[in-house]
Amino acid sequence: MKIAVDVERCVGAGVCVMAAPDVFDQNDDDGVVIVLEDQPSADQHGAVRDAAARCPAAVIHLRDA
Amino acid sequence: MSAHTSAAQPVDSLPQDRCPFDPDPRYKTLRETDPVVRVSTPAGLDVWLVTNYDDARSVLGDGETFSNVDASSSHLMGDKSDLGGTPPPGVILRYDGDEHSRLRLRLAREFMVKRVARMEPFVRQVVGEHIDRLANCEGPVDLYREFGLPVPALVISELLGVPESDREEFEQATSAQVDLRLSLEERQAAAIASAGFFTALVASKMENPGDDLISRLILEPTERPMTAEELQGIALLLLAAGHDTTANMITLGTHALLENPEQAAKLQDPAVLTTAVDELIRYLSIVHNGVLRKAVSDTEINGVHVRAGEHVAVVLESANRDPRFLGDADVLDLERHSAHVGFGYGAHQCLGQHLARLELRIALPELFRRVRGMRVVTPKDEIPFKNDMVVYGIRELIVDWDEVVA
Repeated sequence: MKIAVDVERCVGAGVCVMAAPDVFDQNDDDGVVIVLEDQPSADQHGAVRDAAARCPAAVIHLRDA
Repeated sequence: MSAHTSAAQPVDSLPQDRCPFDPDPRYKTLRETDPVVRVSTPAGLDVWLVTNYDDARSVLGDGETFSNVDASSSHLMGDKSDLGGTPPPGVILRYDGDEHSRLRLRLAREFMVKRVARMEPFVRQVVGEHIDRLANCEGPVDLYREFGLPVPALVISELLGVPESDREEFEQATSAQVDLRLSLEERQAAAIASAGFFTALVASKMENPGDDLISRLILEPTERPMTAEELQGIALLLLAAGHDTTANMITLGTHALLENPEQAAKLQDPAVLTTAVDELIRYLSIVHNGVLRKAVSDTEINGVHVRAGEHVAVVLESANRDPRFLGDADVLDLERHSAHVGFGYGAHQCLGQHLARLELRIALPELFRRVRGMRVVTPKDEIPFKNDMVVYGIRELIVDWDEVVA
């Protein structure tokens, strides 16, 4: 799995951090998403898919690595 | 309006018969037969009602087509005079595009997951103190007034940096303005008092900044410092968005849990708590009666043509019960996980959602753990629900109990 985020359109809701705290964080300045691990391990895939589905700005894109 | 219109009858006005945790039963039919339907609202505004989950997400997720400029309660009450006007300074709920994201992101960092987590000890303290107060009360009491309202009011006062000596006065004024047992005049007087409170608060922070949200916005190095009016608008918006919403979730949530004791028992399990609060938010969908958007260009929603300038009301309580989104959506199941739209969706999704989760994740289990034998005293058919308001809840919930433990 490979994660790409459209940082420009992120609204800083933090839903991804709640869903997958080991993979996503928020920038201290504006709450915008930071990807900690853009090729997360298999045990994180469920949480990452959940984060992508729940992201209110739909900026988390996943593809098979 | 009759209590229950038959399914065969066309729906031409906003369905408002919730009963009491479920949405108006007509939404079930509308989602199947007429998911985007033209209705008239109580304030006389014609809107396209959007009732299913997928359409709700597409409208709320498309801020370029659907503007927030009229996002207010004007479709429910008043004379629509608020519509089409310029949003008041700082009320970012009604801003669009770059102007919205500029301000939203300056606020987003205050509500980040890790920042909110730091408020946990304060929230625990406030919740604990208010349950202690119940212990010292002769029951029965109104849970909304004695617990639901003060907890979020005090959390907001901490966030905004209201000085400790003013907090009781702040809580009284902010709570009185949404207390529907008071007369309109009393509520208006309280609203003026609380606006005055913010004017004074912003002025004092500009003079003497501290370690709080308002002060950080003032001190932030930026090309365009915020005006006092913007800061007051932000403070008022955060109060409007974070106070009565949380208060109603606490009160209505308590009632729903008392009605579902097998679910309430699960609240003490920390593993369940990670899903429980979101499930309650989905199931109760207290932001109801439609969130308002305005089409800025001609468009289509689920095959229905919508013209530029027309209003769209997205019905969150219906979307959250859509069976195509979630099986057994009418059942409260605290162990369930879902991508619900109880906090909205899109660029305007609730900014304070993690703070709301924190407050509920502490307030509800603590209340149920400490207040033993809690029960609603008001007869079921006399509980006053807020069907006509933007935020659903109970005007007062009189409860009694056997004992309050430590």
